This record gives sequence, C-alpha cells and structure tokens, in this order.
Amino acid sequence: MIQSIAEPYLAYLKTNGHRPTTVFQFMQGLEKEETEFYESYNSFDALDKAVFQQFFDDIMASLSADETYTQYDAGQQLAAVYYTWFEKLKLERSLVKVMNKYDTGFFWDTNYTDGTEEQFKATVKNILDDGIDNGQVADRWFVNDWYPQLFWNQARYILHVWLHDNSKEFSRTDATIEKLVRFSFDLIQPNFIDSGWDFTQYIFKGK
Amino acid sequence: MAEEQSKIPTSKIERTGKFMRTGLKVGGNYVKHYAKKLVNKDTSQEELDEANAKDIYDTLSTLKGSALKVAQMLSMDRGILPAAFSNQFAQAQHKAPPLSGPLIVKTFRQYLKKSPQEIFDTFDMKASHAASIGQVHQATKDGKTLAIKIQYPGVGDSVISDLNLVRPVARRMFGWKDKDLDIYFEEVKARLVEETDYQLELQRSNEISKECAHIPNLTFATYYPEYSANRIITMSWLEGMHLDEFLEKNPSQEVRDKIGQALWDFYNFQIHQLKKMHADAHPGNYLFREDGSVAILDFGCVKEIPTRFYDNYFSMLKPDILHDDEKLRQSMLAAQIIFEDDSKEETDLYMGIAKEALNMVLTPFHQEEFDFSSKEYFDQIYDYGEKMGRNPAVRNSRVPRGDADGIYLNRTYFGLFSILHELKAKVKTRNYMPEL
Repeated sequence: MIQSIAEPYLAYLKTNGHRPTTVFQFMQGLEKEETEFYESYNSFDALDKAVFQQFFDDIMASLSADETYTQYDAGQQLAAVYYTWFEKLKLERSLVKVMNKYDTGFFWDTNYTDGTEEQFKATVKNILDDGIDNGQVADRWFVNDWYPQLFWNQARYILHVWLHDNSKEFSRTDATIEKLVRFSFDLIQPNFIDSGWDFTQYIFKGK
Repeated sequence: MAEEQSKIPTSKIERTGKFMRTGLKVGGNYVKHYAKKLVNKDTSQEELDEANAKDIYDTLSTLKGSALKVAQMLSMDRGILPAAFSNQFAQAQHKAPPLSGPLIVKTFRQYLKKSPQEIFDTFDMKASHAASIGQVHQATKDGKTLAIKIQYPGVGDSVISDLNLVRPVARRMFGWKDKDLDIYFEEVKARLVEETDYQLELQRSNEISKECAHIPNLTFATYYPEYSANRIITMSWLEGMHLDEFLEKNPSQEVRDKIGQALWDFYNFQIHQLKKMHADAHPGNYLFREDGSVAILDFGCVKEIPTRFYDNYFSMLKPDILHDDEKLRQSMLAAQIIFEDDSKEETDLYMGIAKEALNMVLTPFHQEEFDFSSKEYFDQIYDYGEKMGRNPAVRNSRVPRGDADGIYLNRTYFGLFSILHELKAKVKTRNYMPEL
C-alpha cells in the first residue's frame, strides 16, 4: 500500500463520510498530480480494496505466529480468524461503514471486499485441508471444492451483521460467529450425510 | 471444534445437565398433568374453557431460558404452579453450548487486553461447569486456584427478547391487562438485566460478603477486580459439594443443623439488617462441606428491599395480626393484596386466604427453634399452593395482587425453606431479627 496516498485518503473518508468527488480534487488537496494516483491505483474502488485486504493480511500474519492458534482444531481456527478479523475491523468501523456505502451489492460490480476474497478462501482451504487430514472434516470430493466459496458467503454475511449490529459491544456479532461456525462445522464434519451416502452406494451396487 | 464441544462436559457438568433434564421432565409432565387438571376441575366454571387451558400448557412448555424463569416466578406468586415444581423450572436457565476457545481468548483480549494464558499461570480452556448465563473456568496464579466466570455474548439482549416472549403467555394465564403486567415485568426485567452486569455483581459480591463475614460457618470467595470486566469475573476457587452430592454422604445431624443455621442466619441478616439480599436461593448456588460450613456463590441476582415494603411485609409477620382483622386489613391494603374498591366477597376471600397462608408461613418464625425436616409442614405448604392454583376466584382475579417487590422475597423464602427441608435441619429462627 502506498502510504503517502492511502493515509490522507482514509483520513478523508473517516472525517467526511464519503469519497472525494474526483481523483483530481483529492490529489490537488495533496498538492500532487492526478497521474501519480493512477501509478498505484486505478480508482478509489481499487484503493478501498487494497486497504481492506491489508486488514485481513495483517490479522493472518499475527494469527499464524500465534502458538494457541496453531494448536486449535479446524473449527476453532476459523472462529479465531473471524474474531480477530472483526476485532481489527472494529478499530476502523467508521472507515468500513463508508467503504460499504459504495458496495452496490451486485456481483458483477467490484467492491471493497473483492481483494480479500482470494486470501480468505485460501485460508479456509488450508484450514479445511488440515481438517480433512486429521478427520475433523469429512472428505466429500463432490462438494469439497465449494466449501471455500460457501465460507466466503458466510464471512460476507457476518460482515453484514456486524455493519448493522447495534447491540452493546457488538455482542450480536460475537454470538453470530459462535453459532454459525459451530453450525457449519457440524455440517461438514463426518456425520449422517457420509454414512447415508455410504449406505446409498451400497444399496445400488448390491443390485 | 465439534470434538472439543462433545468433550467439554466433564463429569460435573454432565451431572448438572442430567439434573437439569430431569428437572425439566418432571416440570414438563407436571405442567401437562396440571393443565388437564385445570380443565377437569373447572369444567363447571364458565370462565376457563378447555382451549384456554391447553393454550397455557402449550405455551408454557415451549418457553426457554429467562422466559421460563419469569413464567415460573409469576405463577409461583399466583399459586398457579405449585411451588415444588416451579422450582424445578428454575434449573432450566439459559442453556447454551460452551464457548469456543477463540471466543474466550477474544473476550479476554477485548476487556483485559491480554489472553488468559498471559494473565494466569495456567488456564483450563475446558469449562469446569456452566453458570446461569456463562461458564466457569479454572485457573491458577501465584499458587492460588481461581474460578473465572465468562458470560455468553448477547445474553443481555436475549433477556429482553425472552421477556417479551412471556408477555402474551402471562396475559393469557392471568387474564391481566398490559398495564397490570408491567408492574411485575419491570421488577423481573430489572433483576434479569442486572444479572448480566458483571461489574455490578462484582461490587455487590464484595459488599455483601464483607458485611456477612462475621456469620459463623459461611464462606465467600475472594474477588479479583483487576482480572474482572463487563463479561468476566475472577474469584477464588471454592471447594464443596452440591446439595444432592452432599446428602449422599449422609452428613450427621449436627453438620446439617450447622449448615442450615448458617444459611438461615445469612438470609435473616441480609433481609433484616442489610435490607438487600442474595435473591437466587436455588441449590446450585451453594457448596456444602462436611465440616458444617457452606460457601455462597453467585451474587448476580440481588434484591434491595425498600423500607416501605419491608415495614409492610413484616408487619404481617407479627403474631397478633391473626387475631386482629382490622390490622390485617390495613396491612393487606398497604401490600396491595386487597384494594379499597374490592367487593366485600373479594375482601373476605383474600382475608381468608391471607390468614391461612400467614398461619403457615409464620410457624417457623413463631418458635425459637424450628425443625425443617417436618414433612407435614411442607405437605401443608404444597397443598395450599395447589389449592390456590385451583381456586378460580384467585386465578381470575381482575387485578394483580401483591407487591411486585415481594416476588423475589417470596421466591427466596421458598428456595431457602426447600433447601432447609432437604437438609432436614433444625434452625434457631430468631437470630438477627427484630422483635416481632
């Protein structure tokens, strides 16, 4: 991230609650050329994306260095990612709220969470692969590849809850994370689905 | 994670769980049975139709958490569910799955800026047992064993929404207007919301345990404000057994009496001297020891007793009031059990009820020493509760009767009496009490 541009930009967002009217106006305020902005970012959207992505990269860096995190099982690791991530976002809540204003909600538009998506999915894939290896997550070859996408949707949902959370100390977000992670890991751990599949296969093969 | 969760219940928590389940089952069956009874006994009464009773049962049996607690408390006050069973309901408090490790760490970081591992020498990530709206972990620091209570997130909000759930039920059960319900609801809501405030609990625990420290055979935990916050309370770990476990050991009569006396003195001192009390007298909040001492846990629910209410309530405990109708009438008017605009029938009905109830409730207070093992005495109380529940005139009273401040006092006395009964303790009842 280019601090000389990002820092004044974020300060602007937080104080004004909206983006500068144009890139030109913003760079003029910094007494710089507009082109200098485009050398690093092609639009405000791209800058938002980079900043939001940085939050996630930061927390992942601190988590992977944390000994307790590495000892957690799959579900706990994902919960830890969520908790740490949203603690981090809490420090920048005003900023994220402004960024969210420019999220159209249409999947073909870019939005500020786009840059985080790949990194998040890769993290989830890592966690789940480890989980499959030690038996905490069921190996279902036909849906496994979809899991990261589903968890990304989950993450977007939690983000939505958090942005609209008016409970004291954002306890509703905490409860949402706790319950959602438990529920989703109850679904993906080896359970009746696997034995049912196994049984179905047996019936049809036995014919 | 799934594995962790299925393993968290240690033997103790499993037992509590089982205990709670049986409690629920007994309660549930009872409600079922009672709903039927409501219908059968009253088919002649035009006021209560079958559908109504079924509704009451259906709704009551779907309630959970704090809603159940409220319904239970209100119905106890109205004598609709006999006390013996409504106390079972009290066990069914907020039942949530244990907190995940990351959330525990997160809660610590959020409030104390450090992880539990950084603060304590050891910290057991597995909950040792469930508390009403949180869970308890064991930790050590500087050679001391500590108990750390962590609250579930979002409990504060759920208390309010649970309460709103019970409103329509209560309306149907008692046929009251919203305005009348409010009086009780505000009281119960205030206590339940206070229960979620761990800062307040810490402060009250400290106050009351200091003020009651002189009472023999009582033990309190030491609290550590530096390791406590809005959703975390750190205190010293207390040893002892739960009531059922303790009774299995067949403690001697002397030990039972000592413990019974300690509990009695604890409440008498709080009610009559401090004018505020630990208002959650259910067996899970005490730890019993074989040396005849008892440890008091959980000051989440504390009721402050207003002087006006105190004077009234205890003026009814004077023995001569039973022979002086005018005095009794005045006290009952002040306690809002009867009203100036009541008809003569209503006044007579409630005076009669009050006399019978007072006669019974006062028995222990009117003797120097009372033997709580008396089965006849408790049968009498339970029968009375049932009789009240069946009495259509009482059940369909057009206004709520009795002071809202009395809800918690009645519940506490009932809880205390039940525990003393289980203990089969002989208690000197006059300690720390003003002359009646």
